[in-house]
Amino acid sequence: MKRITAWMLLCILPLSGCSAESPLPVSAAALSRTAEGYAMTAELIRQDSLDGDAAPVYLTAEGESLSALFEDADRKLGGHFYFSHAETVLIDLTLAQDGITELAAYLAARTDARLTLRLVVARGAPAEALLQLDALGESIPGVALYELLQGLARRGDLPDLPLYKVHNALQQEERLLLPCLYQTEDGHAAAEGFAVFEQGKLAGFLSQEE
Amino acid sequence: MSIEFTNSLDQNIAVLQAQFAGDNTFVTRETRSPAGLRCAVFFFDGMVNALAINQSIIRPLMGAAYAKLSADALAQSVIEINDSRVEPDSERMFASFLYGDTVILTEGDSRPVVVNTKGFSTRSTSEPEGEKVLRGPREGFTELFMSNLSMLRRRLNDPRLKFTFSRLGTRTNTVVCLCYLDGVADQALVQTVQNRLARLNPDSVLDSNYIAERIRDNRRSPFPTLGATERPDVAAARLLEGRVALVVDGSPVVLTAPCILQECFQSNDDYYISVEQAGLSRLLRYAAFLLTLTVPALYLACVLHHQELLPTRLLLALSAAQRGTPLPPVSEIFLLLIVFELLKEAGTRTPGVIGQTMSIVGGLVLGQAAVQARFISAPAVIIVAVAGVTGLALPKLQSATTVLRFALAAAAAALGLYGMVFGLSLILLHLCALDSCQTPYLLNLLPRVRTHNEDSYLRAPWFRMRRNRFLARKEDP
Repeated sequence: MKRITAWMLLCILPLSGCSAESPLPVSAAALSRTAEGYAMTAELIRQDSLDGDAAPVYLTAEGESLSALFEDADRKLGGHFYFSHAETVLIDLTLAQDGITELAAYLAARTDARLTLRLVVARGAPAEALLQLDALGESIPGVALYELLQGLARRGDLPDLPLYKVHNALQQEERLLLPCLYQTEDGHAAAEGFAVFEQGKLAGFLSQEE
Repeated sequence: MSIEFTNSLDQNIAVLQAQFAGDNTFVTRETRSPAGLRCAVFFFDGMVNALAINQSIIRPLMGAAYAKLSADALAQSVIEINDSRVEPDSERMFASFLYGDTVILTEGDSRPVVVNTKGFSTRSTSEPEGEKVLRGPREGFTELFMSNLSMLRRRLNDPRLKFTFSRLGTRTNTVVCLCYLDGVADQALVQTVQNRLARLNPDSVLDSNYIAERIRDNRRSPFPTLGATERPDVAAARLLEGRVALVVDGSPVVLTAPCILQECFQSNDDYYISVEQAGLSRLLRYAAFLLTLTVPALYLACVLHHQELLPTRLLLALSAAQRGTPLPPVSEIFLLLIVFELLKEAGTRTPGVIGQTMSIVGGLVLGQAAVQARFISAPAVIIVAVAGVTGLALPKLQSATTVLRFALAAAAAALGLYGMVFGLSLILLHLCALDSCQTPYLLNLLPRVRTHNEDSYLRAPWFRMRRNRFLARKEDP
């Protein structure tokens, strides 16, 4: 019995996390459609300051399919594309027009994607450009975007549509309203109006009043 | 030790002196009365009450008006001490003699007279350091056997309180007393403990733990299956509940059986302060038990295996704290847990104020310096401090929580939350399998083994506490 216990302990010892990897968490991502397939700009949080100041870094990836896109990102980070903390995905107009049903289904199926993830449509500027805009009161733009959307949803200014609700609506081919993001004159990102999706594809825009 | 005495006093003196040759505390005092009565008084210096010997033994012997007296006549008519007897059994005579009694031999009688003259110095009664109360009795057991029994007798003025003596230890010949309330304690329980004591054959018993480790159930379990207390009020309360107590000569710690897990969460204070305060304290102790076991394991599981469970900002804070430190989280936690145990050990072993100061200095200065030097991350210090401090709230479970904290942390480090839950399940299974003197260890804590007791997770107010004898026989009036 003692030998068996000793062997079991020896076997589980390599699992004990002694190597202590600390992956760079993804806070937000911008996805667009290209001629070759998909492109993604992911915002990662680098915590390399001894004073505790975090800084954003951006990673771009491409792929013929969504899975190839995420595999490319994973490859570029040596297998540590850590999507579990991503809270916002910006959808470029190119992708919105092409349809987001596949994207929502893919994200909902990923084990490392939060079901509370918020999807938002970039309007008037490429999604990756909006993602990298300076944020007010927050050093990480992706985190600032999520807090902005969360705050507006809490106030009732935006419909509360986390990923699972979007996925359900798209599966049932319901009409869907996603918030739009645009660049203000002073160079920050702001939410205004809605993108209307019919059958999973962008059908038009509505203003806040409409 | 056995000696054959003869009718010759000179021969008997020579035999005893030969037996104790080399022992300078052995004293022989020969007396001869004016009437011609020859006697010899033997005792050990420092073990006896000298005043009693001088006034109640030597003086009457010197003034005896007879030339010859039998041992019976000496014990009945001359010796002026209440507890004196003729003891023909030399083994019993030696047991008493070595324990501070005085032996008197007279010319013409081979039987010694044993007189109770015990008078060795002992520590005065004080409040036990490990079982202090804010309110309530402050008396604690001492190393003096009879004094400990008297403390119990004073609290339980019941003729059914029984004290059954036995001796253990071939070299120490230590007196052990089994105490119980006849008719309240289950006779099967009394018999079980008596049988276990009868089976023992140790060469020495210097403390009650010498016996405890031998007679307790599930000896390899880190959980205590035999109760221990230094407070007579606690021992008396346990006797009233139908338990038995073992008082061991020379030990201020009284053992009680059976011991159930619920006892470990009870404090003496619970019964002396308001019911609300007692309830809150007891709930905090249950929380402390869970926290001290699971906090390091939960931290390691989340940091190493389940980072997605952490809020982003918390993850970033942990990541910032971890940045620049040389050790991975698992090494940090284990290192700090060991350092905490070392500090605790050093603080316990160091006398008085120095010990407390050292613990504070060790905890604060070492922790602060290690974090500032980026040797250890601050969250790891906080986690170990929380686990350590909450563990101190449960002194009766210290050994169990210390061992299991390490085991759970190792399981969580290896397998994440799955390992932790697996470890907790094993602990629960182990607790379910434990018993103490045929009493389920989880009595009153699990629904299937709950009895009519108003003192389980919380205690009921005294006016609703009809009977607290959950272990007592049902037919007890």
